[in-house]
Order: sequence, then C-alpha cells, then structure tokens
Amino acid sequence: MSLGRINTVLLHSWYHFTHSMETWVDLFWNSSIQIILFSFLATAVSKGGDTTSAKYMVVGMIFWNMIWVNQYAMALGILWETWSRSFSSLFISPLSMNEFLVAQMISGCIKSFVALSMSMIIASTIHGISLFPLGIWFFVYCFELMILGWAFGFLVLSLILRFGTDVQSLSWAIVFAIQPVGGIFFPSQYLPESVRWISSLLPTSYLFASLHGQLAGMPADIERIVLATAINCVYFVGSYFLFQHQYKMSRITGRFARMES
Amino acid sequence: MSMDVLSVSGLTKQYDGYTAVDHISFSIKRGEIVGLLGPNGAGKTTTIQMLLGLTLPNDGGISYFGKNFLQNREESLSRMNFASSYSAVQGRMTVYQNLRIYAGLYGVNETDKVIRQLLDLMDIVSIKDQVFWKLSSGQKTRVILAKAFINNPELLLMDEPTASLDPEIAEKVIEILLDMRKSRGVSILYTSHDMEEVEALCDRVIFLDHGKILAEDTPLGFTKRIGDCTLIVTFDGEQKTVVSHVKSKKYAYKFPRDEVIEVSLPEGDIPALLFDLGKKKIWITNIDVKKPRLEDVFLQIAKGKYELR
Repeated sequence: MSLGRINTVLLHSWYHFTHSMETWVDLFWNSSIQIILFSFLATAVSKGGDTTSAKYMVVGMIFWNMIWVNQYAMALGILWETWSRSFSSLFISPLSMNEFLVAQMISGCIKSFVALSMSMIIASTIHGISLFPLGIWFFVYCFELMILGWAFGFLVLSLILRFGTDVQSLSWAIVFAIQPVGGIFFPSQYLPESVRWISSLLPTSYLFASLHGQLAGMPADIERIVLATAINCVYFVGSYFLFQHQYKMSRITGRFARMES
Repeated sequence: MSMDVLSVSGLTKQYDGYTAVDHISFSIKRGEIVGLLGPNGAGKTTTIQMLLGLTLPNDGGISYFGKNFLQNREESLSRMNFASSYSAVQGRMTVYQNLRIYAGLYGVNETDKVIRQLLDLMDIVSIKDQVFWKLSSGQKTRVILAKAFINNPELLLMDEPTASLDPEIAEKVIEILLDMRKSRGVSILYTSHDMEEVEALCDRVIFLDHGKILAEDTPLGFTKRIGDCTLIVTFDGEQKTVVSHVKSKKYAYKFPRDEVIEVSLPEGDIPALLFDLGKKKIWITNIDVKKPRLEDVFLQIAKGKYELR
C-alpha cells in the first residue's frame, strides 16, 4: 500500500470534483434542498406540538449524509472512470485496487463531513436544532454510519463488477432501501410488525435509537452502539470479501477489461 | 546475452469453452521492437489484457525483467507503460491534470519538468489546460502517448497507437519510438494494422491467428517466405511470342493491357526472363517489380491462405 499513490488518487478526486457539476449537485445541492425541506417540515410538525418527531426527522436527514455520501463516493469513483474509458489506464499503472478503494473511502469521508456540516448549519439556522448534546458520541455515530456507507459502496461495486454498468443506477438507489426500515427518521418500533425484523438487522436502528435517546437527555446507549458496531463489522467485512471475490472473478471472466467498452 | 524484458510461456485464456489465446510463448529482449499482428479475433487484445494484468490467464506465465508478473505486479508495472488509440484518461480533467496524476501513480520525480518535456515532445503545450474529452481524437492519442512515456518505461506495450494520428504525426511518433530504443534501449511490443509502419519499426513480427502463434520472423523473412514477386513488363513485339516463352517456364501471368504482361515468378528468375525475351526480339520499354510486402502476408493469413514455408 503506497501513501503516495493514495494521495495521488485523492488529488485525482479533487481535480475531478472541480470539473464535475454533477457531483456538486448530487452531494451539496441535493443535500441542501433535502435538509431545507426537512427543516421546514420539522418546524411545521413541531408547531403542531410534536417536537420529538420533528427533531427525529431533521437529525435523521443530517446523519443520512454520512451513509449516502460515503456510498455514493465509492461507487461513483469507479463509475466516473468507466464512463471516461480511463478505468484500464488507472489499473495498468502500479495503482492497486485496495489503494484506489482506500482513497475513495477517504474522499467519501471528507465529502460526507462537508455535506454533514452544511446540513447542520442549515438545520440549526432554520429549525434551531443543535447536535452539541451528543458530545464525542457525535463522531462515533458518524464513524459507524460511514462504515455502513462504505459497506454499501462495496456492495454496489460488486454488483457493477458482476453485471456491468447495466446496474449503475443502483449506485444512487440501493442505499435508499434502508431509509423506510432503518429507524432513521422515526423509531423502529412504529414499523409494521411484519417488517420490524428487517430493522433489527440494520445498525442504523440501534444507532439512531441511542442518538434519539441522547437528544432526549439520556446517556448514550452503549449496548446498542456495540451491537450496531458488531453488525456493521459483519456487513463491512462481508461486503469487502464479496467485492474481492467479484474483482477476481471479473479478471478471470474478462469483464474487468471490458468494463469501459 | 541480453536479458528478456518480457517472457511469455504457454499463455492461455479460455472463455466459456472458447480458447481466445492458446498456449502462446514468446519473449522480448532489451531494445527489441516486436510486432504482434493478426486479423480481428486472433487473440491480440486478450494477450495484451493479460500482459497488463487486467485479465487473468487460465494457464501459462508472464515474467517482466526476469520476475513473475502476478507476484511482482507493482514493480513490473512501474517499469513499463501502455498506449492505445482506444484508451483514454479521465475526460473531465485537463491534459496537465491527467499527466500530473499519472506521474504521481508512477512515482515520477520532478513531475513538472517531466510533464513540460512531454508536452513539448508531443506538441500539446497549447492544449495542456483543456479538458481531455473536448480534444480531437488525434490530440487525445498524443496525450495518451505522453502518458505512456511519463515514467520513462523500459518496456512499452502499444496497441495501434498511431491509428487516429495524421500521417506526419504518426511518422514523428515512430521516430520518437526508434529514438527511445536507440538512446535508452526501450523494448516495445507493438500491434498495428499499418503494415508499412510495422515494417519500418519492428525487428521481429509474431503473427497470431485463432489464438495461436502462426509464425514468427523478421518482416523481411516473412516476405521472403511468401516467395514470388510480380514482374510487370511493357513490351513492343508479338504477344504470342511472349506468352509462349512465359508458358514454357510455367510462370503464372496475365495481360492487364495488350502490351503489358504481369508475371509471377521467383525474384532470382527476373534477369534470365528479361534476357530471353530480348533474344526473342521483344523490345522491352518498361519494367516494374512488385516485391511481396508484410501486407501480403497479413492478407494471406486473414484469408486463411497462409502456409508456413
């Protein structure tokens, strides 16, 4: 693993970012509009008396950036190269796939913190919400959600290596599957019983339960955070190995070389 | 004896029962330029993909600079590079930014100086701040070539690198490649459909067909194998006298015009034939000799008519 090459891929991400209106729109425009909408919605709901639900909605949308942006950055990092037909040029250099992925993870981390900070400022301005009560746990939640975003990133990349760019729309769409059942915008206990088991398989359910509790003045729920960490680890390691398997298979079947054709 | 910079042994690639590359073995020495030729579907692209590590072989081995490629991927790739008129760099980034990135990936020192030299060499200084996707295909190819030279490679793999270039630029590229070989002993594996280019550049040519090495020789050696050349004689005299003499020698012939005969014969028989026609009072007004070219070998292979002599 070469730090020099990882730095170079980060520089590559930066250069690309400065020339890509689409990335600006996807990451910052969409995030801003969504948090503005949710902040107005929360303000309206809280005027009806339900301040807790209002808070959940805004906080859910702020932290959603950590999952979405990290997943997006990883998947799009490869897709931009595929669309540009520069994919093979990168991987016939000494750059390894792991170096490329680490750089995409760092790039996603930076972008997600920018998007999150922006969302926090907007939400604080419109709805007056503050995440300072979370203290150091704020970073723990961010880190956990980031890991989940990377796991989804690996999953999307595995699907792209297996099925090609026919499934590229999943890069935007797949992670949204957890929004309704992940306990992000409301507690999982309000889900219909028939789908509640899905929620129990998602680390977000435990993380947001702890986070909501803290915002209500309770201490962080260590037990739930540990459980979320364990599930996250399983997903991260599992999706990484799935990716590695698909990467190897795509080089055996020749799909990897044909990615950009 | 100079070391092999590339050694391929029994390289095989199968896809779903179809053998794209079938146990090919060859090597390239330091400073040697080898052409890898063959019709479409011969296995050239798959071979190059395996040589670059993009595709894994089913069988066989690849060694660069005496070391197993798959076990020494990083070291091998840092000492070589690849150019193809069909490959690209990131379209959203400028020419300079792309070269800066590849300089970083290859660990190039004095990046700015090297990039400036390459921009000069490929005559692309004026477009260095333009984004890649907006360039013409010829400009893109020059950028790709600059990228391929960025790490001062000891070995270059080139897949039709001049396909979209103007003839004068293509000629300049060939000059650059020959100069690199002369000054730094760069080795090159070169594929092209331009046989004149291959003849001008390559020391040795490998013909692939249906995934197998059909033949391997120098460009001159290949043309010699094809044998007969074509003698075109414009004459003044009786056609039947000419025909009777050519027939007696069992040469194939045809008359494009009444006073012009094209005879297919071994090169060494030409003086005797002309002398004999002269003795038979045939006044020869013009002579032209068409020697077999690499192109003819390629066409024979493509038509499945080539036989190893």
